[in-house]
Amino acid sequence: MKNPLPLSGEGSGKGANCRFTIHDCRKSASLEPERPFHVCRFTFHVTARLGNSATIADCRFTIADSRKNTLIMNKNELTKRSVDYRKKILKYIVGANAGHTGGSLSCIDILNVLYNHVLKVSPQTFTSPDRDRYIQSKGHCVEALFVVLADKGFFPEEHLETLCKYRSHYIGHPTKKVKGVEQNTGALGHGLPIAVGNAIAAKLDKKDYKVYTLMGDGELPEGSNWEAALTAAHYKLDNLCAIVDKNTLQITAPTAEVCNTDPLDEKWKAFGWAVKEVDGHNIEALKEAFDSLPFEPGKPSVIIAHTVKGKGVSFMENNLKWHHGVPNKEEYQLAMSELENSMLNAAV
Amino acid sequence: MANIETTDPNGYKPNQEIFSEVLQSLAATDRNIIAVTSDSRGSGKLVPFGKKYPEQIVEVGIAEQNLVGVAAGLAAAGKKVFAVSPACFLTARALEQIKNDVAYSDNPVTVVGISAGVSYGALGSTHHSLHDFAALRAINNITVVVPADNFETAQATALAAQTNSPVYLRFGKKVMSTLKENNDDAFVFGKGRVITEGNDAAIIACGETVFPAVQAAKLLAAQGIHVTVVSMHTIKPLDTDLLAKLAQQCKAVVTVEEHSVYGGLGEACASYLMQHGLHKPFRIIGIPDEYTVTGSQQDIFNHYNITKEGIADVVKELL
Ligand SMILES: Cc1ncc(C[n+]2csc(CCOP(=O)(O)OP(=O)(O)O)c2C)c(N)n1
Repeated sequence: MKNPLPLSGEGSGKGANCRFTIHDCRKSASLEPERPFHVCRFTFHVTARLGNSATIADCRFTIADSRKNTLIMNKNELTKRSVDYRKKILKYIVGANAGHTGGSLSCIDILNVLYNHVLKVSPQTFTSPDRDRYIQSKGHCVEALFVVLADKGFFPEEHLETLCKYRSHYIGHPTKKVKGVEQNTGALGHGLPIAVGNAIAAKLDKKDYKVYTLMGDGELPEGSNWEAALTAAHYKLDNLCAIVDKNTLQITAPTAEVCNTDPLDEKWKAFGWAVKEVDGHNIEALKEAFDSLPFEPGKPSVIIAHTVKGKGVSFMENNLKWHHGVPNKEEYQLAMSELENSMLNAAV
Repeated sequence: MANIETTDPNGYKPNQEIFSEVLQSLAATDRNIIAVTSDSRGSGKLVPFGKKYPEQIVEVGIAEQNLVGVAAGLAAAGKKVFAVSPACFLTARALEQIKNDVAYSDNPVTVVGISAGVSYGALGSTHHSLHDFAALRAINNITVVVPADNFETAQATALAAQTNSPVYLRFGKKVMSTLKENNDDAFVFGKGRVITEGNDAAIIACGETVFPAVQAAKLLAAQGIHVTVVSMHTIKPLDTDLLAKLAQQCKAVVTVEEHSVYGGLGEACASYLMQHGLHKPFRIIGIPDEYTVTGSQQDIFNHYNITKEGIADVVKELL
């Protein structure tokens, strides 16, 4: 054991309900701080003993709120996770020689914040009737979901090496054969109606779990979405949150050229929803939006997340080719080195 | 939906590409030819069509019900309409529009189901269409056509444009070759094409499964068993004359299809044979009623014996 390391960061949470843990990334060990620790505000300083050669860069620190069973991470931590998730998305898409690259990269920050900050769900609580529900309507971006579920411990990450292979449960869309997946999706325009059903059931059962669904902007012309939007407002489902991953591209062309849905906020408002628009790659902005749910009591909420398709890899950004393009060897290496560089930046 | 092969040393193409080429040549002389798409022009190989005839393509966004409804309206106003989208969404989600707005209302739309059957392999059951023959066979006033090779696809597309009643055209996305060296036979909806001849057994197949059926015939021929292989490209109306003739001539009948064993080509044949007293050893090869195995289209074919060996074995079992 070396000298105590001073660590500082940001977090949220109150008093004795919070536990603070430091993880040594080099050897997947976790350590408790030297003295009992309470978070009262958004910043903290702490000292802890770590292994011989540990530096701050080797550490991840998390704060868990034991009442909510949720992890509260600081911004750096989440930012680094997003980079890590992006690398894994590409790795498994290359391994499968198939996948929806651009849309997985555009929604990964949203999934990161959902699973690491918002959702009250874990492998242990997945069968609990009180868990929060997440339904991925844009099912084609399953790689993003699988990578996050593996990270959360729903299944060993090595399983993803079988992605899209003969007899694997890990196919190109979410299925309930995979632990952590709530609903089988893949045909667009199905997530919201199912989420509405879940949310109505929660109200009937007087349970306070929340229901979340992620939709693509290209997906919105499916009429079923707007039928469900009416039902959600009619039943005053303020326990429901839809997120639109508005990356402005679909397969054929920009969404505005295929079937324009703008002004999108006004459409949702007209359907009786409370709307917030955020930068869908800004972790803090996403946290803030989710933390302020429901946006209006008695109304379903929708977050219009402005995102970039292919986000994080310069040559994939805003390029139609990467909707379901699979990188070749050189492209993969280039993408990984770009992501590694951004990991270093995130660590600073 | 990743990297699919679209070039072939012999110049063979996926049927979807042939469809698009024929549609382009038709559109060159007929301003009434209209393609309607739902963010599906890439998979439907219609990007060149859209570039060349921007006024003859209507894009509705990801909205298949709307796609078929709009197509019906265009057809009602005299357009020759091809509504193009993956078969899985088109014939499930938009089934009511097909039933009411196209078939029942007799609007002469050609509903084109692309990437059909298990073409989308590992994308899973949401993307498979193993129900479409069954669903559409039970709907009055729609011809159901499943071309096997590039020749049949070209013929079927041109014929659909001339047909003044609803048609469903269905094909996959694999590169297909040509079944016959000289395509000198007439292609007519409702008349099966005999590919190989033999009186030991008849193999009646459709779409992409005709190819393993022909290979099975070759395997069997090497063992002294001679079979007739039919590309039964029209599922409805079924070529019952040919079916009856083969059932009389041959010792066994086997059907093969990239569809559920329920309600498809096999049951259509079985129903006819049974009701006409033509009782021969009979077997349906297709996708069984279970959670479909996962994997590529070829993995799924292998798993369910839609292979030359699998088909040949079934023939031998029946003889
Ligand atoms: C009902 C249905 N129609 C068509 C498709 C085929 N499809 C898969 S992804 C996609 C484009 C989706 O665009 P968008 O919703 O904007 O997703 P993103 O850009 O986030 O990937 C389409 C047309 C589908 N999966 N389901």
